[in-house]
Amino acid sequence: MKKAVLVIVAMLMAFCLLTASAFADDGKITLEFWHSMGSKTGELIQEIVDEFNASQDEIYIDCIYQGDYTTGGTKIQAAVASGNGPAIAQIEITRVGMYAAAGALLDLTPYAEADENFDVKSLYPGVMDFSYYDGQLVSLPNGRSVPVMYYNVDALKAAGFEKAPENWEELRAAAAATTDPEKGTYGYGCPIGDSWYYLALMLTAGGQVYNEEGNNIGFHNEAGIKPLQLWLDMISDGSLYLPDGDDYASNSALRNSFMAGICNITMQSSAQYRSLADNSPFEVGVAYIPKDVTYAAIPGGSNLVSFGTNLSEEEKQAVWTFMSYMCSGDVAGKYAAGTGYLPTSDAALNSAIYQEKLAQYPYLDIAVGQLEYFVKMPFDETYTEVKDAIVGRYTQEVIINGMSPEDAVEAMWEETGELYE
Amino acid sequence: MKTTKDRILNVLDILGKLIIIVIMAFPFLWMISASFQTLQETIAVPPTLIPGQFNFDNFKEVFKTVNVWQYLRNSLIVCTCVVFLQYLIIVPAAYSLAKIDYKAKPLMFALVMVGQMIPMQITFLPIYFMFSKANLMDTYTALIVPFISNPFGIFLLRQYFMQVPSEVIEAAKLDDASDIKIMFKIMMPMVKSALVTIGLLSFISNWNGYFWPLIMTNKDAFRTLPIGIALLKDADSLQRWNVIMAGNLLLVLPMLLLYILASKKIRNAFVYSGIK
Amino acid sequence: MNGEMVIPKKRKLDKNQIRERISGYILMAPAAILLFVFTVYPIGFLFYRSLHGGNLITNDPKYTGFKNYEKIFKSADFQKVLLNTLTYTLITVVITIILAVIIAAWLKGSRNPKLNEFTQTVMFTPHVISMVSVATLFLWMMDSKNGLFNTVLQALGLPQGTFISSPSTALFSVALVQIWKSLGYYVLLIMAAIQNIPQSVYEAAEMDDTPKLRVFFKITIPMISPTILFTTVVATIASFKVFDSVSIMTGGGPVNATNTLVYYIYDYAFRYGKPGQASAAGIILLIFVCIITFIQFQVSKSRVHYQ
Repeated sequence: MKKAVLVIVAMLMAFCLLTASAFADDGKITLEFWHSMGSKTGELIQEIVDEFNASQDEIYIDCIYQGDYTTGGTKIQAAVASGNGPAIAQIEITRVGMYAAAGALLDLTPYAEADENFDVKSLYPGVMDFSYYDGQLVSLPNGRSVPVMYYNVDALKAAGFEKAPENWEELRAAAAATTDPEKGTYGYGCPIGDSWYYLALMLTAGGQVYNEEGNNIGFHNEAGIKPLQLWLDMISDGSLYLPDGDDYASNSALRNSFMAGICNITMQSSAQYRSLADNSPFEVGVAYIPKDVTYAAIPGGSNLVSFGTNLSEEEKQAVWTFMSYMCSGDVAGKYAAGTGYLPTSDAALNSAIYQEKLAQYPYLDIAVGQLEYFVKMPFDETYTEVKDAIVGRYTQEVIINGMSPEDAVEAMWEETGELYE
Repeated sequence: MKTTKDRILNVLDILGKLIIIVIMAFPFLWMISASFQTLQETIAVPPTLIPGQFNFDNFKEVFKTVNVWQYLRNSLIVCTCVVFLQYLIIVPAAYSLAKIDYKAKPLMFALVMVGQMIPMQITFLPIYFMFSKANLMDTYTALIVPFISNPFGIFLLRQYFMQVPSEVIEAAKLDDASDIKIMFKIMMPMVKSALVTIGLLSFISNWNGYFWPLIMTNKDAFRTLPIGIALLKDADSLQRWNVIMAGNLLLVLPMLLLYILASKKIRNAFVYSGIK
Repeated sequence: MNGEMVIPKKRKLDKNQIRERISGYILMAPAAILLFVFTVYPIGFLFYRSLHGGNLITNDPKYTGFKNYEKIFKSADFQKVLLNTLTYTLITVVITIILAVIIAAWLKGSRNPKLNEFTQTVMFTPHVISMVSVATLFLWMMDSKNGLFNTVLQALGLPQGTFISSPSTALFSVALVQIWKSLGYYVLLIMAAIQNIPQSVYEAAEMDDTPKLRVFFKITIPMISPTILFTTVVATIASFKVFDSVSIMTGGGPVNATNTLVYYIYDYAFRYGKPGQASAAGIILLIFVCIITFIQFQVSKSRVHYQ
C-alpha cells in the first residue's frame, strides 16, 4: 500500500517535471499580453504574436487568453488591483477610462514621440477616441468595430425582399414577413441584454450617449424610448427572437441561431462577419443598423493598453515596440482581414492582405464606411457600470419583465445621475 | 407463491429505479456522445444520439484552443500537494487535541470548529487582499496553503485518535518515544482509514474546485483544469458544444474512473464527512 | 460535544507534564496559525473593509461608517439578490431533502437489493463531478432553442420550457441543477441513518402487520429525524454558497433573476471594483451562516427526540 502510494506520487511528480514548459530564459525581455479573443480570432492573434516573436530576438511576447470582455475585464481588474497587471492588455474600450482615471496605465506619449517608424497620427481620428486621457496617450486602437445588421439573403429573398431593410419600418416589415411560428423561425434576433445594440438604435433615433455636461445619459427623451417600443412592437408581432444567456453568452447563442436559420436578421459586431459568412449555409448579407431618423454608429471593440507603469525603461520601450507593431499597417490589415474589424489606418486599409480579402468578402469594409458616423463616447471611470448595470439592466426590465419604456428611461436617468453625484 | 399484486409492484419498483438511473446517468452519456459529434450534429433536430463517426477531432480542437497539459499539470500539483501537505498539519493538531492536555485546548478546538463553519465564499475577499499585498497571487501557494489546515480533517482525526487507548501511548512513552514518533509511527497506522477518507475528499474537492482558483489565478501558468475548461465555453464566437463537451469530458473522466474503481470507498468517505 | 475536555485541577506539574503541555502547543501551532490567518483574520478584515469606501484599483479605503450597508440595502438589486438567495435555498433544500428521504427509504426496501445498490451508486456519481461540467452540460440541455430538453418536449407534443431564458424560471432551473447534482449525496446520508435504526423496531412493526406507509411515517421518519435535521443544515449552507453554477450558466441574469449573494459579492468586488459594498454583502452572508449554525447547535443540544 505504502509503496503503491509512493509510486503514484513519484509518477505524478515525474509527469509534472516532464511537462514543465521547456521555455528557457535566454536574456530576452518577456512581456505578457492578455487578450479576449477565443477561437479563430484568438488563433489569428497568436499567429501575429508568433510572427512578432520570430521577427526579432530581443522581446518575447507571451500571449494569454483571458475569456470574453467581461470575464477578461474582471480578471484584469483583479490583477491590476493586486499589482499584477499585464504589461500589455487588450481591453474593451469603455473600460479604458476606469484605468486611466486611476492612473494605472502607462503613458505612451514619450515613446510615441521618439518613434520614427510609426506615426500615431496615421491612425484614423475616429478610432482615437479612447486614446488620450488628460493629454496622455494611454491606449491604441486594436480590434475596433461597430454593430451592423446581418441578414439571411436567401430567406429575405424568398419573402420578397431584394435588399436589406434601411429603416425601422422596413426592418419590422421584413422581420414579420420572415417569421414562421410553425417552423419556429423568427424574423429578427437581438441580444437585448448587451446595451450596445440598444444604444446603436437609440442613436439613430437622434439621441446621444451622454448629455452635454457628461454627467448623465443623453437619451432621457423620445430617442431613449423609441428602440424599446420598437422591440416591444416586434414582440407583439411575434418576430423578435431573444437568445438565452447573459451578456456575451447571449451573443454567441444568437449567432448559433442565425447560422441555424432560426432567426433571419440579427445585429452583431462587424467583427463577426468572417465567422458568420464562413459558417452559415446560406448567403449572409450585411448592412448598416437601420435608421429611425439619422445614421449613426456607436464604436465598440477593444484597445491595447499597458499596465507596465512599474516596468524598467527598457521594458517600457519593448511594450511600445509591440503595441506599435500591432497597429502598423500590415499587422492591423491582417487582423482586420481575418475578422471584420476596422482597418485602423489607410495603411491597413490599403495593405495587400486586406485588399485581397476584401475582394472575396464584399462586406468586409462595412465598418470603414461608418467611420464618418462615429459618435462621441463618454471616457471616464463610471461608464462601464452605467452601460452594464443600468442601461443593460433596464432594457431587459422592459423586454422581459414588462416595465414601461418611459419608466425604464426615467430610471436609467435617475440612477446614472446618482452615480455621478 | 407470489401474488399478482406483488408482481405488479415488483415491476413498478424496477421501472421506478430504472427511471432514476436514466435521469442520473443519461447526462453523462449525452456528454460522451456530444464529444464525438460534429457541430452540425449538435444543433440538429431531432438531436443526434449516436455520432456519425468516432474520431478525436473535438479533443484535438480542445488542445488547440486551451492549454490543457498546463492546466492538468497544475491541477495535479495542487491536488497532490494539498493531500500530502495537509497531513503534516492536521495529524499533529488532531493528536494534540485528542491526547494532550493543555490550557488553551478548548480555544483551539473552537478555532477548528469556526474554521469548519466559515466557508471560503465569505473569506475570499480579505484573503485576496492579503495575497495581493504579499505578492502571492498567481502562485501555487495561493492555491495550496489555504487548504492544508483542513479543519474537517482535524475534527475527524481527533475522533479517531480519541478511540486509541491511552495505554498504547503510555507504553510508547516508557520506551522513550518522542511525540513525533508516536504520532507518525504508532497513531497514523491505526487510523489509516480516516487518513484515506480525508485524502480522497480533499483530492476530489480540489480537483473539482472552481471558485478558489478563479479568484487566485489570472495566468495560464497556474490555472487549474476546471478554470481552463470553463474558459472553453466562451472561447469561441459560436457555441461549439461538441468541443466544449469534449473538454468537459477531460475534466470529468478522471473522477469517473476514480469513482468506478473505488465507489464504495468514496461513498463511505462522503458519509463520514456528512455525519461527523 | 466538548465534554471530554476536562481541564485537570490546579496542582503542581511535574517536568513531564510541562513538557507534554508545551508539545501540545507546538503540535497545534501550525494548524492554529493557518486557521487564524485564513478564517479569523479575514472575518475581522471583512468587517473593517465593509466600513470603508474606495475602489479596487486605486485601493484607497476611506472610512465611511455604515454607508456601504445603507447603500446595498437601499438598492433594489441587493434586495433582489437577498430574495433570490433565500428562494433558491428554500427550493433546493425542501425538494432535495424530501426526495432524498423518499428515495432512501425506497432503496432500503427489500425489493431487488442488487438494483438498489446499483441505483445508489449511479445516483451518487454527479456528486464527485465538477460543478463546472455539470453546469455547462445543463446549460446546453436547457437551451430554449437548441437544447435537448425542449427538443424532447417538442417531440412529445408537450409545451416547451423557458428554463434559464426567462426570469420566472431561471432561478428554479439553476436550483434543479444543484438538486440533480447533490441528491445522491443526501440519499446516501439518509440511507446510512436508516441503516442504524435497530432492526428490532421494525420487527415489532412487522408483527403488528402495520402498513408500510405507516411504518415510514411512524417509525422511519422519527428515527432518522436528527439526520434529516442535520442534512437540512448542510444543504442550507451549501445553497447559500452557490456560485459556480450561477457563474457558468447565467451570470446572474436574466435581469438579476439568478443573482445570488456570493455572485453579487464577486461581481461587486472584481467587475465593478467596489470592495466596500462587496464586503458589506459578505458580512450579511456571514450573518446568515451564523444563524443557521446557531440553530443547528441549539437543536443538536436539545436533540431531536424519538421514542
